[in-house]
Amino acid sequence: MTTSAVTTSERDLVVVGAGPAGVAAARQGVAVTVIDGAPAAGGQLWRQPAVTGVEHVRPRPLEHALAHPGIEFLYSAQVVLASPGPTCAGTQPGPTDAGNDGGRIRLLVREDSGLRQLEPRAVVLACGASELSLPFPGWDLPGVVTPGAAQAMLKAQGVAIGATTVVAGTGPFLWPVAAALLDAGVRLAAVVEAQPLHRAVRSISGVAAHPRLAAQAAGYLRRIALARVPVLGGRAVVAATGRDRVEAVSIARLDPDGAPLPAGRRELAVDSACVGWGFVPSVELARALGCRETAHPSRPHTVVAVDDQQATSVPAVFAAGEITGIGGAIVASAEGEIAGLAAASYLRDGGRARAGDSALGPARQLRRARRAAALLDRAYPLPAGWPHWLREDTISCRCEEVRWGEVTDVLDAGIVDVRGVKGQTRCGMGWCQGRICGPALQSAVALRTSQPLSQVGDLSGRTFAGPLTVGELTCLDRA
Amino acid sequence: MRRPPAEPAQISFAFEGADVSARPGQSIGAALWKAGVRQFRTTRRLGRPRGLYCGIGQCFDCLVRVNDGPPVRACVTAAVAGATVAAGDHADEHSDSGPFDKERNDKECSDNECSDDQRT
Repeated sequence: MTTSAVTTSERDLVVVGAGPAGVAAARQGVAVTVIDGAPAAGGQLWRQPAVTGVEHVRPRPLEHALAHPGIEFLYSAQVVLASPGPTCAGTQPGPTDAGNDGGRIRLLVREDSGLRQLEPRAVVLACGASELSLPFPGWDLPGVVTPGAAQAMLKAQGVAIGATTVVAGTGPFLWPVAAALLDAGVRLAAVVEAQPLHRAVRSISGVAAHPRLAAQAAGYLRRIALARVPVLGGRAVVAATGRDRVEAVSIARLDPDGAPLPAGRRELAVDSACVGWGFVPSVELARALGCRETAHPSRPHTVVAVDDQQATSVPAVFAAGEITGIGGAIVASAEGEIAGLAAASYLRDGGRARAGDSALGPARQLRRARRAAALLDRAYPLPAGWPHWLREDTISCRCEEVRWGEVTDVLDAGIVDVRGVKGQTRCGMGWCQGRICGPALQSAVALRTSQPLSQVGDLSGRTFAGPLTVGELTCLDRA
Repeated sequence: MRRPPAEPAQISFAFEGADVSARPGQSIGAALWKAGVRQFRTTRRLGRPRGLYCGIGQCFDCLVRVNDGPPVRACVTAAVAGATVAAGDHADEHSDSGPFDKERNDKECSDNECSDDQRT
């Protein structure tokens, strides 16, 4: 190689993601490199502060992994390209490729210092998830954020999202965010949960069998009750208004199908709003590697299919944590542990991976935690009538500023799938590559064309899993 | 002058001419938010204000420019002392139409933030 900035190195095991699943996988006794996009380990669930003076907990497994001499952490690093063969036609083959048919996994990693290519013998994908947004009028106003953004700002940056806010949407994640904001001195105008409260309460009694989760849930609810925050069930934030930032949100009661009712709307004055609808697994790298996926029965996303050893359909590729199904930190840790043991066994013996007896403990824990996760998953469906709160001029795609009316125009003209809408309207074609608008668009297209979610396609496949400059592409080409 | 021990150290940068202070390691986005700035840029098509949205580097709403560089995501870019930060408006206009400049190209190799599907 002459001018190229891209160096290739071999690794036994690369773990993508330093959250609970990735950290657990990395600790299973193999020389391993862990790659994470954030400047510190922990992922979204065990988020660590970027600044000093922010109160935080560092869970023991994370502590141990950070002290482990066999684990190399690459921070602020992103796998931008993954392939079962060469990542780029122009890339110099690695030294081991002589006599090797190129079946080796290749990961192109982008860091501040440049690009590098890793050629691991096995990979554990622990890429986590991002939040599901559903558009509503005014959701692009500054001050409207996701609950995860409010949480990240608080935990990593020590900054409160506002003085008066509302936490809204659906799912168990709203409670810890609300509690954390209260702890930070933020006034909560309301917590708004789309499910009727009796159903949300039933889901909490469902996790009572899992004492750690139950204790956590009870703590959050107690915090919210003590602060006398109104908890509004069966309702949703259906509009945000303000001149150049959010000044108020409009809350509507939902009918049994989840469509907003015109009567009894109420306005709350806020300086910020945290609205989120659960999570979407980040499956793009798994998809790039050809791993089989399974459609979620009722939410607009897929999960990576794994066997009881956390092995995907592609040899040497394992998956753990949120990308195999949204389950939280306990599920992710157990899956990561099994995936790490199975990957170690695969590297040692080849052939079918066996996590072995040491995985019996985590497997038992996993079964229990998955039952609780499945209960929560079923208890917080998306309200099927949500597109009814959209107006013609509501932004559907934030990057390309595509309005909902443009989407319905092409659907009315006979387009029946997500990629067709993308091609006609540019919805999903901007900077974020459909990360924000894609799942909502999939849901909206399915609902409007009366098709199952699995029939309308999605925008979750991305050749590049992160930003890459044209200059960087030419670096690859010059290699 | 010595600060009281509870007070974390501060650095500062300029955003659109105004002085903004940040804690070491803090993201530009968090520092702006703390300073009361909610609008980080204006959109290309409809001229709408945008700030932070997802907070974890997914949405690209919070684009700003640091020291006249290409747009970067304020939520995942650490503040640099003394930097000049500008709104990430009209991000598309930053295209190099001049002769090939290797030094600049190599620099952008490491610090540019563009998507693979950007209009020119």
